[in-house]
Amino acid sequence: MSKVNDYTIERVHLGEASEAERAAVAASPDALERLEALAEADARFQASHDPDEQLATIRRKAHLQATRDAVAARRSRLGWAGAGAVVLAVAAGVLVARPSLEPVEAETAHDGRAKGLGAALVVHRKAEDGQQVLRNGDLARAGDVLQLGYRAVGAAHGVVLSVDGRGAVTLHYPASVGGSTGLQRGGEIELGHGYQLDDAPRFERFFFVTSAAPIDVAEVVAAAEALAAEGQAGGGSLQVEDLDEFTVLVRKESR
Amino acid sequence: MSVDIEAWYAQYAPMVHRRCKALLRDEEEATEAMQDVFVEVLRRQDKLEVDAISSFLYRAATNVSLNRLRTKKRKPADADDALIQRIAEAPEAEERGLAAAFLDRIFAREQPSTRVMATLHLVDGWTLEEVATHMNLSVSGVRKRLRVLKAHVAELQEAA
Repeated sequence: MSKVNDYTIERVHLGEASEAERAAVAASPDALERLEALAEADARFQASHDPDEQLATIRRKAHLQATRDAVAARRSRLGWAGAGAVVLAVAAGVLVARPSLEPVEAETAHDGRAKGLGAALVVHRKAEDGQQVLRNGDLARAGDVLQLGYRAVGAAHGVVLSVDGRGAVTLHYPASVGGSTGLQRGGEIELGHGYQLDDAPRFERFFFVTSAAPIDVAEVVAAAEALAAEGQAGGGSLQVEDLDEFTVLVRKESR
Repeated sequence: MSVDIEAWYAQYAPMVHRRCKALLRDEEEATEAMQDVFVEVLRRQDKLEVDAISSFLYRAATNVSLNRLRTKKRKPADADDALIQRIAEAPEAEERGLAAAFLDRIFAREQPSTRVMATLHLVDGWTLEEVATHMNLSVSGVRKRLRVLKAHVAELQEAA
């Protein structure tokens, strides 16, 4: 008689087994022992895996994955549309190619409109004698500690994240994907923590996206991951619909 | 189909986790794989056509675990582990080479996975009849699919 397989024992344990399967388990001391062990295994699993937490994680992962799929699909569509726009712009003599790492304007919306004294992302480098503002394209080194801040003029919600030269995405605000994106008003607001640059090469590019309404952080993170995956993190746009986008690119030099 | 994910989780998560852990041999990895099984259920629920939930989830857990092994290429701890790893790395008969395609097969129209069949038969010791019943295939169909994969696993064994 062949050994009763684990799935059959699981079915008996779940109360889904046929009469023949139950009989097979009942006739095997080994199978009965394995069946009895499942109740205890269930209890251990329940004790170490809070169902609410697990389901929340599962939903968050599913949402993130669905968002990635949607972002990828949108970027794919925009990619074709963008390629067409580039052809037209070159034909009209209005587009000059530039390296992906060339600094872009520090305060621009993703549609290219200048934002003037509107919302802004501010990057300071902490030093012994105070703080130094890093502007778009400034150099920094691995180990430098940066202090990020924002001005929320005209924006009620925002997300701050960065992408490094390895394509790693770091969320700076809110603290987690599920956190509130509400911004504080009243001049420059510093985030509650500094950020130390690691040894990722070439650059760290910071993004600040804003909106009048709450923002889906997962969508912004997914857009950043997609941008990094395309190798465009040094110069491309997140292309998240209905969000204004501000970026500061800090170039990296090795120590 | 509409999935009551809370009910599915409450009823089947321990089984799914046990299955993942048996293949992955790592508690943390098994938890992540278990989550991924339910993530895919949520993502693809509109396309799912499932008659027997436990059977479907057991196959899905096997498939997701093999997929993780395929990606991570871990160092096997023993002979059984080495066999699982070789199966994980073996191509499907209609391999499209992408993890997404791999998941599509198990979660959409339930195209039978040769890797899952091989794991059930060669690693778990199921009879061909048991595998055939579980996969809704004929015994000859299972035998035929396994023959191709066995040859590949043998090639991998010789190359190792």
